[in-house]
Amino acid sequence: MENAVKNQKKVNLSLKQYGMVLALIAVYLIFAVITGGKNMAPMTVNNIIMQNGYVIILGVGRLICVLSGNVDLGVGSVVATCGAVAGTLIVDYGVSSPLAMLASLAVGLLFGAFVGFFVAKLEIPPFIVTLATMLMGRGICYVILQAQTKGPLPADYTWVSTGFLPTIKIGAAADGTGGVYLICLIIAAVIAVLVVMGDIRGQKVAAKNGLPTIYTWQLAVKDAVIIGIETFFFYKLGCYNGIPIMLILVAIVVAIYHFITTQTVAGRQIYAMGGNAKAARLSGINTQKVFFWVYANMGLLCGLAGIVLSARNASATPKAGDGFEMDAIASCYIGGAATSGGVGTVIGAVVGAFIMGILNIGMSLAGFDTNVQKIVKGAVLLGAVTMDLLGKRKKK
Amino acid sequence: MKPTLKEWFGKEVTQLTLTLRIGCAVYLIYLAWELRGSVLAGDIPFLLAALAFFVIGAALGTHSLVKLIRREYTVPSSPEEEEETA
Repeated sequence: MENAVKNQKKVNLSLKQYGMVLALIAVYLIFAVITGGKNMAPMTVNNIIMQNGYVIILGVGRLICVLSGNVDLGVGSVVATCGAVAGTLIVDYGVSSPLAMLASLAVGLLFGAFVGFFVAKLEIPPFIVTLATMLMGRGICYVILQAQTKGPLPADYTWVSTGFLPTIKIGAAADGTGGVYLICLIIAAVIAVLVVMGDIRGQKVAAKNGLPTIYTWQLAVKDAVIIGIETFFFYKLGCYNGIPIMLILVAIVVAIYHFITTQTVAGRQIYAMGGNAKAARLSGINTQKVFFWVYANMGLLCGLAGIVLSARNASATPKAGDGFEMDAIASCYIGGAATSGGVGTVIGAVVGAFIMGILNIGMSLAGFDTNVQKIVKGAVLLGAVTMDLLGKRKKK
Repeated sequence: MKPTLKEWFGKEVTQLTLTLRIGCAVYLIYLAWELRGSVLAGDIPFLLAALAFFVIGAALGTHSLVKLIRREYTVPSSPEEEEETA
């Protein structure tokens, strides 16, 4: 027994999967220095979530599309149209907010099904179909809104993007200033415990099955970094207004799609099609059905992003969603979908979205000119491309 | 021995990687287009940046598109195989 323990093979922690997390920390710290710590303020940390929730939602949907080997250029237009439908129903027809939200989701799903039908059934290249929806969607949006901005939207609609979970504050002064919202501390503690327990369980299972285990000190360092990040994050949220509803929404979306892509047959089918669609079809996967649902799903998430964006702006605008396709694809790429050997993950897309979000907010706080911001974004993208190319070459 | 350009880009890429590279190439060209105002105003740094983005984006996009059309990509290996070769 003692020999078995002594002979337990140990391996180093694979840093490849945490490369983007380290990049996220590095970007954040760089901007902390540039902005003099402004990006560490509670309000800024809160804004990272509030202003980038839609990027994460679209990034997840975009990742599913790309994993199946396809693209969707119409994302921005569909987001704008869904927001326009919800806004018009509320402002012009007095429809209740929940119904308007359902309508927005339905319109997104309809767009997605439209694209899915042409791509899956008629086998028209996705580039062509989604280019068409990009143009049509924008046109429909302008027609619905009559080139105007519809607003203001009511509080029970904007609550999705601007509301916070009810909670109690501890440590506040008599006048109510200072203090931390309790729920944030509780969530931070729960996550810390889950992280540590997850690793302990993983090590036990590996040891039990005779598999190599990771050096304990490396796991301890990794856990310390992750717990440090999440504690900092939730503490800052707790110093502001608590947990934003947007964070709950994004966490639910990420959890669902992480589960689908890692634990379900559907997820494996999507990965299989992205690797080799012909082989996937020959192995019995109904590729038409999968393609259809991938695009229908993208449409649904566009509907959700449309709700989030119009709620954040408290209005529906014809120019909403401009350039969203770019932010979503950059999130997927920077998050490691291309640097990890082609096996993209939902978590990677989320990390990529956070990197983009921190970049955007950091540059705004630092007062960078908009053109300079574009150069920085381009440079970051070039860095990711370089890592991708170098990574492939080093493997050889 | 220095790798050739062909070896540099390598053949160990997946369909996913090529698709994303095309997306990034489009983004770089889009950024170059967005910088046209400063370029027309004659700002040299912006001109150089726009040129770099356009050239790299066009090269990356074209190369990736050609590989995608010619199906010059591999099926992703399993995570266990990736760790062994890393």
